[in-house]
Amino acid sequence: MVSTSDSALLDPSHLSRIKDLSLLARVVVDGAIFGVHRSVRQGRGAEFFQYRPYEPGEDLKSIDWKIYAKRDELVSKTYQEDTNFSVCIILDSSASMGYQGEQAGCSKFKYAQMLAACFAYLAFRQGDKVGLVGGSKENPVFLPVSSGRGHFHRLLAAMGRMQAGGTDLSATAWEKIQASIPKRCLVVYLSDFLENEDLLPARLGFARSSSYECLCVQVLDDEESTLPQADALRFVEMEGSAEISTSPKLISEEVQKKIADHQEKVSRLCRENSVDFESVLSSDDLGYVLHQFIGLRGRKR
Amino acid sequence: MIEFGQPLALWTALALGLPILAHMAYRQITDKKRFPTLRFLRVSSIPRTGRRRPSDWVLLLVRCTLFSLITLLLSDPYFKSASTVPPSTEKSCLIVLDRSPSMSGWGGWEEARSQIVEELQVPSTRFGLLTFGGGEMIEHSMGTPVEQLLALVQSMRPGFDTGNGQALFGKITDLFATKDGEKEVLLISDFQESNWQGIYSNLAAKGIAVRMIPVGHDAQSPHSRIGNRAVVEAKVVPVGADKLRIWAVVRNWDTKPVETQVSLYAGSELKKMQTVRLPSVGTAQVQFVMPVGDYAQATVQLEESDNLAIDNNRTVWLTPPPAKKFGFWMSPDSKDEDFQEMSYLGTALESAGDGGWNRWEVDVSLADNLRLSPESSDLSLLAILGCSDWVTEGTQVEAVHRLLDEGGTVLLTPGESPIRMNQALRDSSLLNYTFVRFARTPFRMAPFRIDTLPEEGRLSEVFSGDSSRDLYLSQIRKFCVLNDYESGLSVPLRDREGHPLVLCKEYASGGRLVLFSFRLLPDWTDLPVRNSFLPLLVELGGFGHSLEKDTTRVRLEVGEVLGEGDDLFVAQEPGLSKKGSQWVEVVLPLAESMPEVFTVSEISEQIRGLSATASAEEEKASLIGKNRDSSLWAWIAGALFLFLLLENILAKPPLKHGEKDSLLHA
Repeated sequence: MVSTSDSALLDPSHLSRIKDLSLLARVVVDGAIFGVHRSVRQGRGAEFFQYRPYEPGEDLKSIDWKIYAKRDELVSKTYQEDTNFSVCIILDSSASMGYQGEQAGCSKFKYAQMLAACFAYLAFRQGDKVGLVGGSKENPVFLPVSSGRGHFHRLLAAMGRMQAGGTDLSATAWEKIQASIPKRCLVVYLSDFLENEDLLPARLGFARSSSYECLCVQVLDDEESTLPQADALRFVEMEGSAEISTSPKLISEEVQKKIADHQEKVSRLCRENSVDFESVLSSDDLGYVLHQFIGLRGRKR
Repeated sequence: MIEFGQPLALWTALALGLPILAHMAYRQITDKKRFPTLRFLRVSSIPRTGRRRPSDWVLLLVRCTLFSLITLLLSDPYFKSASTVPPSTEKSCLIVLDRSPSMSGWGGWEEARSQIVEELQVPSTRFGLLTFGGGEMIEHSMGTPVEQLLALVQSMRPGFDTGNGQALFGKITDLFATKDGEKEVLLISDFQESNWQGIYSNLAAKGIAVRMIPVGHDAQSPHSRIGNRAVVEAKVVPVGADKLRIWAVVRNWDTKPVETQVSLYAGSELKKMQTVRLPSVGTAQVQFVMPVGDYAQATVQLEESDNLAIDNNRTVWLTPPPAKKFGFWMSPDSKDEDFQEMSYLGTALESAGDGGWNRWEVDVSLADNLRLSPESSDLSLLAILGCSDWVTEGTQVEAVHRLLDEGGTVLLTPGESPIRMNQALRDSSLLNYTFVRFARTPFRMAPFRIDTLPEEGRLSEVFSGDSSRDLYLSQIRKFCVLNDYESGLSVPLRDREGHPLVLCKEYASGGRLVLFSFRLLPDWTDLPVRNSFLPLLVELGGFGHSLEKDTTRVRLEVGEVLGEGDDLFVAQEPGLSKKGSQWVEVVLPLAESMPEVFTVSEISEQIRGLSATASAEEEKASLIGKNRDSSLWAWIAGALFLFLLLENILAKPPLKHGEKDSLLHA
């Protein structure tokens, strides 16, 4: 078993060499966040889960009076809640996600792919349903939420076949996504959020409902803000054919500020729609990042 | 020893600084760098990375070599062997004298002679002489004694031949020796525009200076000379049975109208004289009428003397050229209808004249002689009427073959038995076809008609529009249906059902065998009595071309030739002469009468020579050592190509992080 401190093994440059996404997810999830997350919701339900000491303020109905009669100790009975929770992963595979900086161990898309696999594995391991939506405008991928080992492996296989290319998902695809998301669903949206941020309120408006939770994970390459090291470069847009000849040294500070402003804007838009927003770099330790997400969800709960 | 043809071009070596500067002040520009989004980027200035020392020494070296080679290429280097004879310090002057006919006018020749005499007095100069025009090109090499040249010039006169000016310049360079120091060509001519307009030379490239002395020019009008009239055309045509009309055209080259007298001389006697008014820069016609047979030739002469006398007369033949001979062969037991057919054909051919002259003449004896022996004959046309197997008797077939091979024409009409004719012609290898049957129309029934002539063909050119109407109205009541004729035969005439009416076989010698599928008799057709018969006969016999270009009466300009080999006739001076059966008129080229001349500045553009006004030192410096043993141009061009290739390879951007990030040093 791998521990969280063993970061070398969880470095994206190492993990990206693992072709089997199932194995990758097990390495990351089982190794990095063991004992951290609560895979089963506790609360009211039909099935008894465990006893725990009574905390003042808790509902008196949860006290097992028979134990109190025997031991003179207040103990609460907890039941496994029948959550019927689902996880829907939206993975952006537009061309811009294929960027890999000189210092990065893998491309942004590969990083997002690994992250998505981990989320899927987490959901699978705790018995939740999981689905995959993604691709690009040219090659959309729809895998409705479902449970079971077979579905989990189909999902990972579909994820593995995806390649970065093309442009952002179309409005029609987003309508389809919104229509296919089931109630009580956690939506994990992995993208670089470099374009079309003004469309986010319309796309993620469903998250304002209490039936949904949404987490936007922005995957960026470090070079996107620091820019490649060169006196002069001719940049060509990956999702178009526009070109700019410029000196990265001269404009890098300006670019960093613009990207920070852009992230702030995306974050604000997400907040306004009850969406959690996190930005990660493709060079970040995958286990640490996942740990942060689980912690975030734990804190919210 | 390497020397340079264009040493000033060595200054281009200063361009060597360009690659050095470029390598010291280069900047990096990338190939395409694909990036997720450009929305946060902006265009900025590209910083130049100035350096104290050039970068990429190998590439710099290659580029510097490249520029050096370009400099060498422009400098035109050549290798001069050490054994080259040192140039002489004595000046060499080649006097080039125009002897064309126009030099005899406007005092040009006298002026030229005095100029030459004056030039020959210049000391320390070796002289040579070259003439052109007026017949042969006279050349005297450099160093000919001055006295000899003086005597020669005094004895020379302008000729009648224009000469080839372009060939002259090819000769000039041959007359100079490589050891000659300062070389100069002294060109003395009237620079008549019509003679000099197509001439080009670049003597400067050969290190030869050119000095031009125009003679016979009018100071008042530098481009044109005044005072010339000429008889530009003269022709004789018969008028009735016993008279001739001599028709002449006189031209005035001046811008003012003049009145002049034109005379006709025959037998060295003045026969007629007319006064004619000539318009400005225009022509007028003169006509004289004379009886036939009194004289063989006559001369039309302008009485008034003008600035160019050589074109003031024109001599013409007063007698017709000898007519072409034709004859007939008929069956040994010929009938009336054979003679009738002969009469039709003979009448038609004898009327095929030109301007009234009889051009065809029947000669029975020639035809009979040919029948008896297959020797060469003066017969131009042989008509074999009522052809049958009798043709194969004796040596008649050989005679026919010989006549055809010598360019003669043979006409055939079918005899009583077309089958026997068919067999005879096939056996004698004259014509190969199959006689099928006779096609006849009963009396008062619609006759056969000639089909529309094919568009491509000489007949359709002759018979077009109204002139074709008479031919198409021709009635044919009887003809032989011929089939399976050999390839190579042409069918100039068909009936409306496509049956051949005439078969024609052409020989490489120009000979022609024409077979009519019908007899030229009223029982068969009305064609012989129609107006279209004569032109049809002329075209089918191939005489049409000869009528257009008369080979019996030839007109040549001086310098032109007629015939070839031992039979060659060279027109040397204007006048009349005979060449076998041909009557030759030699006339002066019209171009010699034209008054337009080039000025020195105009002719200098065409004949590029070193400036004659350049100082002797400059000329000497530029002329010394021009004898190029071998040019290095090709070697340097080859090296330039190789270095260009190398530079392209070395200048290829180095790969950095794959092809996307390749950098180009510019």
